[in-house]
Amino acid sequence: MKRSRTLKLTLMSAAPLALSACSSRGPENLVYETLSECYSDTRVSHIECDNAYNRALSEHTRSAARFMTLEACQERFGLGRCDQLTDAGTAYFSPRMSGFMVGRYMPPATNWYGHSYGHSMIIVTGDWNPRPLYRTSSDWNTGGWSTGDGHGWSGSKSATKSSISTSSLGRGGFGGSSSARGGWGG
Amino acid sequence: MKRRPCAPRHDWKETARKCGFRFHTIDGDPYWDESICYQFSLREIEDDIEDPTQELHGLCLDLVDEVCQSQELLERLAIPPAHRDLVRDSWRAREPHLYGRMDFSYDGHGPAKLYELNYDTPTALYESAFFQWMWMEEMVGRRELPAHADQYNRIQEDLIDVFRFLRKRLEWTDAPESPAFVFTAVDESDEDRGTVQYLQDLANQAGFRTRYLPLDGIGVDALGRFTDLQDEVIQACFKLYPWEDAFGDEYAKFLRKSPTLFLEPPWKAILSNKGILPLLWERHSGHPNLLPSRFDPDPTGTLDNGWVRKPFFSREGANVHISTTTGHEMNVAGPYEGGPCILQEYHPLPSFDGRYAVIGSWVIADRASGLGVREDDTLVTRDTSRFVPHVIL
Repeated sequence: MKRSRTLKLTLMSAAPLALSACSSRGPENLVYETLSECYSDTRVSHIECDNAYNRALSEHTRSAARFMTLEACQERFGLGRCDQLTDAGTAYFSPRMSGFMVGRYMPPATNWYGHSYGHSMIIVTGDWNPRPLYRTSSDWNTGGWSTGDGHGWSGSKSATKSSISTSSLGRGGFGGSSSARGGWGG
Repeated sequence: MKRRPCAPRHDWKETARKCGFRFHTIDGDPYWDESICYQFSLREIEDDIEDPTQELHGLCLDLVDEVCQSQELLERLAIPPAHRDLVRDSWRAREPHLYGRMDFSYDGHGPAKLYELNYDTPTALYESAFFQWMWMEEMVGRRELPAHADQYNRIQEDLIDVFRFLRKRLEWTDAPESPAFVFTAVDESDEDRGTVQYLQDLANQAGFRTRYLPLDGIGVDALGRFTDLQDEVIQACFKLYPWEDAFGDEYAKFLRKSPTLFLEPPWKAILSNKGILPLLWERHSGHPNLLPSRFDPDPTGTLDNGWVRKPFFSREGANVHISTTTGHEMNVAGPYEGGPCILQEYHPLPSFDGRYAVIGSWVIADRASGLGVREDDTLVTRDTSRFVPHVIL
C-alpha cells in the first residue's frame, strides 16, 4: 500500500474542541546548568543567581555522594563525570555538580480568559532551597536531574525544558519586505 | 498515466467544511476539482516519480554541502553576505527540516523532468496529504473506485513522524510548562493560513503544545530573542515565509544570535532558489530527470526560442517568461521583477484534454512521500491552478 492507513485531524476539524486558551502556565523550578544560563533568564536577577550558585556549590562540597573507586562513581554518573577529591588525607570520588536550582518560580495568577494579573515571585525556602543537582548516565538521555546520591530528583520534569517568559521591546519586524504579495507559499 | 472523469462525491463540500478545508474555492473559482482524476500505474509511481525524487533529493543535499563551503557559490545564489554565516551554520549543525516539493513535468512516457524545487515555503500540502487521501478512502468505501485502488500518499503520516522525532530531540512535552511550538504565516492569505494550521494540527498530534501567531506579531526582547504574543521566548517556529524575504526585514539582524529553531531552517534558502537548477545541471549534465539550465547573463535581454526565463525567487509561476521552440512568447505578470534569473530549456507540460498537469512530488524530511497533481488551462502552473486527486490502478 502506497498510502497511509489511518489519518485524523484534531485542531482543524469542525467538531467542538476543548478550549486550551485559558490553561495557565503552572509554577516552575528554576534550574540551570551554568551561571550564564541563569543570567540570561530575565525572571531572575544576577544576584539571585550568584547566591543560589554559591549555596549550591558549598552544599555540593559538603554532601555530594562519595565513592571509594572511580568505577563505582562512574557507573552511576557516567564516564568523565566524576572527580577525585581528598578529605583529611583520604582520597574519594564524587560526581561533578551538573546544575543548580535557584528556587521555584510562581507565575502571576491568570483569570478565566488567560489574562494574567498580579506579580510573579520566586520561592527560595523549604523544598525550594537552592541546591546542587547532578546527572546520572540515564539523566543525560532523558534531560532529568538527580540528587547528590544519584537518586532521581522529583523536581526534574517541570524544570528541564520549559517555556521562558520575557518582555517584548517591540513587534512587527517581520513581514515588511514586500507587503504587495498576498501569500508566500508556492 | 491518464486523465479520467470521476463522479464528484455529492457531499464533498460538506466534508471539506468538516475538515477545515476553507480554500477549496478561491475568489469564486474552484481550486479543488474532483470531477476528474489522474490515474497512474504502480510502476509509473515507483520508477518514474518516487525513485527519481529520492535520488534528486540526495543530489540537492550534496549541493547544499558544496555551496556552504564556497563563497563563490553563495555569491552566485545571491545569498546576502550578512546572512551567509547563518545559512552555513544552520547546515553545519544539520538543523532539521520538515518538507519540500519538487515539481515535475511527466506524462507517463519518458522520464519526469524537474521544473523546480519548492523547498522553503511549499503549499498545496493539506490538499495533497489529507483531503486527497480522504477522497480516496471515501471513493473506495462507496465503491466508486475498486478496493485495490491505491494512492501514493504517506505524506501526513511521515510529517507526524518528523514532528515526533523533533519533540523527542527537543525533549518537550505537552505539559503546560513545556515550550510551545509556534506556527506563523502572513495572516491575510487563506491558503497560507490553512497550510500552517494543518501543520500545527500534525505537531499537536505528535505531542507538541502549539500556538499560532501572525507573522507581524513576532516581537523581540532585550536580549534579541524572538517573542510571541504571550511574551514567551519563541524556542521553535514553523514559518511559512521565505528566507529571502526575512533576510530583508528589520528583524533580520537578530537571526544570527537567536536561539529559535526555525522550520524550514536557514539552509533551505539555498534550495528554494532557482539558481540551484543550473548548479545541478552543471554537476549532473545529461541526468534524465534534469532539464538543461544556466544562469541568465542578461535578464533584460531578449529570450531565445526554446528557453524559459525564471527569476531566482519567483513563486506561483510569477514572472516566468516562456519562448517556445517556434518563438511563441508567454509572460506571466508578477512582483519579482528586476532580480537575477535562470534560463531553463523549454519543455512544455503535457496536455491532457487541453489541460496542463504538473506533478508535485513531496519529500518529507529526507523521504519521497507522495504526490499531488495540479492542472491549469495554460502552460504555467499558478496559484489559481486546480488541484485534482490521483489514484493508482
